[in-house]
Amino acid sequence: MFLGHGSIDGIGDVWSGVLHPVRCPSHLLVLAVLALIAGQRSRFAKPIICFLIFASVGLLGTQTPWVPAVPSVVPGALGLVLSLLVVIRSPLSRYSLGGIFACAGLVLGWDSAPDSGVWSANLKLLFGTWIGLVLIVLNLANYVAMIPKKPVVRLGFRVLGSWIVAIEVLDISLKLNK
Amino acid sequence: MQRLFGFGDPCRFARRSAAFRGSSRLLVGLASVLYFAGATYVCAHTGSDGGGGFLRGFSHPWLGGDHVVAMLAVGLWGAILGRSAACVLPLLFPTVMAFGGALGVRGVEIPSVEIGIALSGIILGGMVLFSCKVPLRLAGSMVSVFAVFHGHAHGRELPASASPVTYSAGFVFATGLLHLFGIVTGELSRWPWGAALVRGCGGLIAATGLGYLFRVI
Repeated sequence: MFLGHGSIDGIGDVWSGVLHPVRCPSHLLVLAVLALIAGQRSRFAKPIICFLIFASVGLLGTQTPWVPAVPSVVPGALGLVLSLLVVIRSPLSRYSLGGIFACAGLVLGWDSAPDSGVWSANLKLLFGTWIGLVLIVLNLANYVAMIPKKPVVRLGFRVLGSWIVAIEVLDISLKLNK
Repeated sequence: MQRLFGFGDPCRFARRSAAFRGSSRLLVGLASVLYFAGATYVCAHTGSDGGGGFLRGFSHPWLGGDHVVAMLAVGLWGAILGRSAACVLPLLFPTVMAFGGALGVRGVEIPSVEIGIALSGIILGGMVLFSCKVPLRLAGSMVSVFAVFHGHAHGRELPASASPVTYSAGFVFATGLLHLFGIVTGELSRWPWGAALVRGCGGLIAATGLGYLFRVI
């Protein structure tokens, strides 16, 4: 599951980092929920900028010796809370939205600690991971924003949110049971 | 043919094209989500636990006939109850089922789970057979109670070696697709022959539940 934290044989460190969020489904689910939240708002640039700034803080924080590893259930718990917000269609203020995106960025960055052992390779992996996070969240949010906002579509987003709630609940319970 | 496809009216054709573009974007988005959800299964070449991936979770709900008929019945009943129920029930069922699944995974015992599953088939099938219309809250409560039983049974069967996220994703997608299949079939009830077909499906589901009840008692 966490193979993406190291380099992939045969491809460069930066490209391994770019692929890291794709190879880590728990991160991908959080990114998808963030995109669902952001894409349904008319302006989603600012929360995503918050996310990317704090993701870089989290990614760089992994290189400091005093930051412990993230417990494996934390990304799942974050995804659960965020997807519940999608299901109940909670009206979020600008500041709370920014706070949520910042928190998500910090957690995802912090949970993407590379383990190649070489400082320069780690830095390349981190840079690639940051690029991967940018690409995925922006692309998915843009897809969501492009879809016409008809009631049936909004309902579809809520159904998708409820599926992600279910996935995260099962994921957390399976991880706690291991 | 012209009227059917809207070729005669440029405005209508443009509207249809726009709707098609919207649908195709939605499909592309859905395909992307499914692709990414299956990403780690594809990465099984790296030596990870490929046995517990997306496809394994996806295939799980289809293997138990008692579960399949109940999930189809939820979709069918939702379609009979109306548009809002067709949307709310499939939203409710996977979520509550996941909580039941979490109880099963954690080893929390619920009494008479198998009987509850059999009753879900009988009652939901009966609702479809007799086209019973009840308030949405009552329908939601009934479906939620049954979802706990189904989720608990699934939770007990979840393999310990499963890759948690991908397995869960496959499992939930399959459940959602079963509901969707039920809803689409239930929409046929707008036509007289379709209504008969849907009621027939309800009868079959109730009979399956009854057979399962005799087996577990």
